Amino acid sequence: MAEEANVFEIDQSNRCAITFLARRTTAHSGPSVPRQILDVLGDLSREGWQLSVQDMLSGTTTVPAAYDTAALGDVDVAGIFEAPCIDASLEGINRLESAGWGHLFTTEWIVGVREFSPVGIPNPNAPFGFVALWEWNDAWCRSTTADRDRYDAGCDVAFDSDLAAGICISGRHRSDLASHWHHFAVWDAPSFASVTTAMTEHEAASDFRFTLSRHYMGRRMPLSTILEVNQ
Amino acid sequence: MTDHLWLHLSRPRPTWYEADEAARGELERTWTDVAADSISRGAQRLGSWSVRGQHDYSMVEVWLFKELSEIVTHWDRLVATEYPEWFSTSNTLGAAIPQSTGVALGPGAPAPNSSPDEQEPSNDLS
Repeated sequence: MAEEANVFEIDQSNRCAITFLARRTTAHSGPSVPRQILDVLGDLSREGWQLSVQDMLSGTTTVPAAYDTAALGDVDVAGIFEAPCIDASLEGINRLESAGWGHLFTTEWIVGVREFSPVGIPNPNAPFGFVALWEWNDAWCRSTTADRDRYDAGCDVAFDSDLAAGICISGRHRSDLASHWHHFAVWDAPSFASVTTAMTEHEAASDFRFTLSRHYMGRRMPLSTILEVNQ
Repeated sequence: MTDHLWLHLSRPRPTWYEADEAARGELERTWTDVAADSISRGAQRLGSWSVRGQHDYSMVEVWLFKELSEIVTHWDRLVATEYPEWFSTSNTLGAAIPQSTGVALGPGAPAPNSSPDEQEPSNDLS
């Protein structure tokens, strides 16, 4: 399942990302809950986690960020973290939920072992984000190797165009171990239009011929802002 | 108890329905070998059940593994046999609930430290 595309490089670090799809609850939480969550995120960062696409790209630690997706989809917040390994990823989810995340949100956490390295030019001020989950469909399962090679080549053209538009891509994360989704990837983007244009180009490249996909788009903002809005 | 739960839901893809009996038999032997190898290394396959009619999938298997890495190995081996091209799947990982909380334990639920072999099944549906 990890055929290497020209745009992406295979990454065998075994780091394990988590994409999260969260709906706000109506539960009352104490004013200390956002701080407790941020403290856990600080601990995770010191333990080698990366808490944004930008951190994955640059290898540095910046402000944890996520996307406010409430205006554009059926979840309120989406984002991505990455743990050093799969064991740490599950333990970290538990620590975040225990710190009060579970009071603020009902969350689908989807773990995915890294397959491809992040790609793109870092842009810490990117204002927009995009989360994509997909699984191979029955047509892909019937396809020949030649079909898949042509498909990959077409998708590469679209991904080249995405990068030229200033989009940063978290890489590719394989999630079929613990989900019906086979893969996910998260983008930081310079604008809403850059994502919608990219989707048009991926459609033209027949990207969705072989997949069932789900997408979330939203404004990128510091997690501290997202958490404090909830109080 | 440090075991990790792995729920494996599956339903046949059109490729499976169209495969002849000999091809299916060969594939099933391959997957049985993968399961046997995981069991020989300590995994427990608690069973499989039909859920067709009450779920998007048709069958569920329940496994316990000592290490997450063993689940990764098990699944990687199934993927290497192209299993997901014959069956659509949805998997779920479960971590043991720490004994000190016990919040999820209800009537008939296993004690945190008991092994599946020691558990009495509960028929109490009241």
